[in-house]
Amino acid sequence: MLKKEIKGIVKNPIYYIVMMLPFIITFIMSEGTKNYLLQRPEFTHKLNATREIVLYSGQILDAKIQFAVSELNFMLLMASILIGLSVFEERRLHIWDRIVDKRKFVLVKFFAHYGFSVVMIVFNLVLFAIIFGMQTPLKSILILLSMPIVSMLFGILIGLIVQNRAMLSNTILMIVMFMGFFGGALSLTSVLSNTKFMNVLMYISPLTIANKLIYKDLINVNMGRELFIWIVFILGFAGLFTCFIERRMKNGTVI
Amino acid sequence: MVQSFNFTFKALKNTKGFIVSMIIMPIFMILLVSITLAYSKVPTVAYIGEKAPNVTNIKMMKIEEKEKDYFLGISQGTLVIKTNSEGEVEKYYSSIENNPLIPLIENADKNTKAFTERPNINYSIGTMLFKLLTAAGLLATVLIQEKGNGIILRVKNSKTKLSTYILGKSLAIMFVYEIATLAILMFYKFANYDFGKSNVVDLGIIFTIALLISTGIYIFVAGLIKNEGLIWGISSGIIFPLGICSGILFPIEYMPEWMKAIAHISPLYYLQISVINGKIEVLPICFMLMASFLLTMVGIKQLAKQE
Amino acid sequence: MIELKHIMKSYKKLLALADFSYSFENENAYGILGVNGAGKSTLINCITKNISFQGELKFVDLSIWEIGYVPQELAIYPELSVLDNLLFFASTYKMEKKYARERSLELIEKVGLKEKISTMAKDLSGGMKRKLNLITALVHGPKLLICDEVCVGIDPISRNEILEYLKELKNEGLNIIYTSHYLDEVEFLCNKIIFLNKGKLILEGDTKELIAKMSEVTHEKSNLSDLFMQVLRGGEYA
Repeated sequence: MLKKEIKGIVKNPIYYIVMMLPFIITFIMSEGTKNYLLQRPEFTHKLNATREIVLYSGQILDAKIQFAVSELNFMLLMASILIGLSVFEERRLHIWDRIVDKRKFVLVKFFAHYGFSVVMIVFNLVLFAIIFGMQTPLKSILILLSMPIVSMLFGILIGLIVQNRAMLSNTILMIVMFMGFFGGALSLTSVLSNTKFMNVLMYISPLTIANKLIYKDLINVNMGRELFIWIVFILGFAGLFTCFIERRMKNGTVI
Repeated sequence: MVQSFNFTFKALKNTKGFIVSMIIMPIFMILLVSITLAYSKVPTVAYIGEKAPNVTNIKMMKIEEKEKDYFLGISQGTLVIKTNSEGEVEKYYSSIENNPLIPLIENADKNTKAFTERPNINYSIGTMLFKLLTAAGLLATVLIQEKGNGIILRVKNSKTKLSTYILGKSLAIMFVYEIATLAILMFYKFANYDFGKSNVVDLGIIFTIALLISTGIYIFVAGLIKNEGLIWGISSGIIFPLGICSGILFPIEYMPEWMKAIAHISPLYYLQISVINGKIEVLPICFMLMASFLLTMVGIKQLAKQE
Repeated sequence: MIELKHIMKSYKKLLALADFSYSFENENAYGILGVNGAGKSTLINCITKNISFQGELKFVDLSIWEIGYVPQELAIYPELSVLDNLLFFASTYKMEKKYARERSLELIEKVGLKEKISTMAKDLSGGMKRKLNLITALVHGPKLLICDEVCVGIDPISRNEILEYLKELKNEGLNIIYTSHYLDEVEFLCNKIIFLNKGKLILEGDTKELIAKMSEVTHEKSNLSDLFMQVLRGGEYA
């Protein structure tokens, strides 16, 4: 079963495209906004301050690194469409109806796609390291690894609920796009946090906290209570989605 | 043409979910993006304390002491200031040496009112123009469906010219989008957005031009393809990447030169520049309108051929 | 009414119509028969000028807008009501508004859609949609009606109603060109038949005469279906 799943992933070009997307989008988005993040005021005066000036000596995250984190997290969320489609297609073809141990079937799907997410993370982090010189600490990698747990379960759930393909891609795409939009995939978390209304609305998206935690880790700032919120979020939603999936399987999923 | 307009409008109105998907959703999306993309030229400075100093042309953002390093780390060239209860600066934390923001704060007039920035339409106009440039995708979808089910043939063999029929349909769809954009403009006006060098009339003209260009492009596309599913691919595979390079996600002024160079082949660029400069780029826009007219003619000819 | 001379049409390497010549005469109902890919739809597309082709097509005492075309697909607006659909197609023929309305109401009543007059086309049943598809082609009072598989996918009662109505129109003098895979429909409606195979005209004539001749040869009571099978197999009669 696992072998068939892995073969299905390896032979499907869509997976390769999704795997490459974080790097491509990061490049375009960071190129487009790098001048903005520099915050250059239009006029300057001679520096003659009477108060104490403390120079920040930590790392400054440029547009490339901020987008790299943001887009990778976004695409990990987007990968839920792939697993959702995979589940739905097997339901549509009635392969699902023939499976006796449905729980095992779902678990295999989950682990195969989680494996794909891990490959995607490694692939992009290597590219970011080589091309952008971005070094990713262990804690950040752990946060990245926690993201697909929720997104894969979410994908499976939607794949089990919907009745047609259009509904599936529209539902997931709309939710994921909104999450990405509020979570800094189109406008960086640092830009959103300086904008009226959006500095509050951005917390609708789990990506905001995930990105923030990784940024903090990258500049060696204590993650604080946001780390606790993230763990609660991951465990809470993973539990919730698992319950819904169980219930859905019990109630029948025939198209 | 009048009948084509009336019946298309009636059909659109009766389409389940049309009002939601074609009017409310774009408005909602555009508003959100507009707010987000209010990329401001005004630098943001964070302050730790009870009161922010009043400084013209600097946005002040309250943060906690522990957030200081995070703020400095993610916003290049910015500043964090520590203030006392009167709002006077006690200490500066800067992410760069010789930070030009410090003299701005030092030399600020303490008696000025607290600075509040008006959101500028120039920073988000690209998003709205993109929506309008892809608006006629709906027209193309309808035409492809009608090409497939024989309605186009019925009209072609009737006493009504196919071009008149398509023009009526285009006007109905443009009308729907004009209403949507009018609502957005009203929002901008009442939300006190800064229109820069343009005014509402200029924007109305530019939006109509965008819709005309869109109509030409998509009638041509409808004449070329048989599968309406490809429309989405054209909007997101060609127009969207072009749009990224011409300012739909971030303002043109912050883009690097290579992106600006690509932008020159995109209609979005000239429409945006016209809004930003408050002056219509006559030559490129006339050229685009002519190209759009030619595309319309070729598209109608193709639709009439139906092979 | 319609003269076709040396019509040739090919799609890439596939020859859809090969040197087809035929004259469709007035006051007749023609049934065009053939297997899938025989060239039936291509022939209809040539007559309706839907595609380009080589050869000569001449309308005698007939103009293109005196043709009513009922395609296999539903060429109606799903989001318009029954009446609005008819009014729209009437408007494309520049019919006077009052007359268009009267004519539409008359047709609606004739096919039994009176109770559904304000219902949106998408909410009609399959048979009703087919009826609407038919009457939208009749609203302008055509001299010739071209029907391409009008009864496909509908229940026997609706099918019967449509066929009875078409027969009535034929008896009133309307010319019909009809294609269908249901041979009983063609036998019921058409007094002339044309057999096409691989884009070529292989047999044509009066329906009853051809069937009678077939019965004579086979010494059995035959119908159009038997004739069709014989023609396709290249049997004795063919």
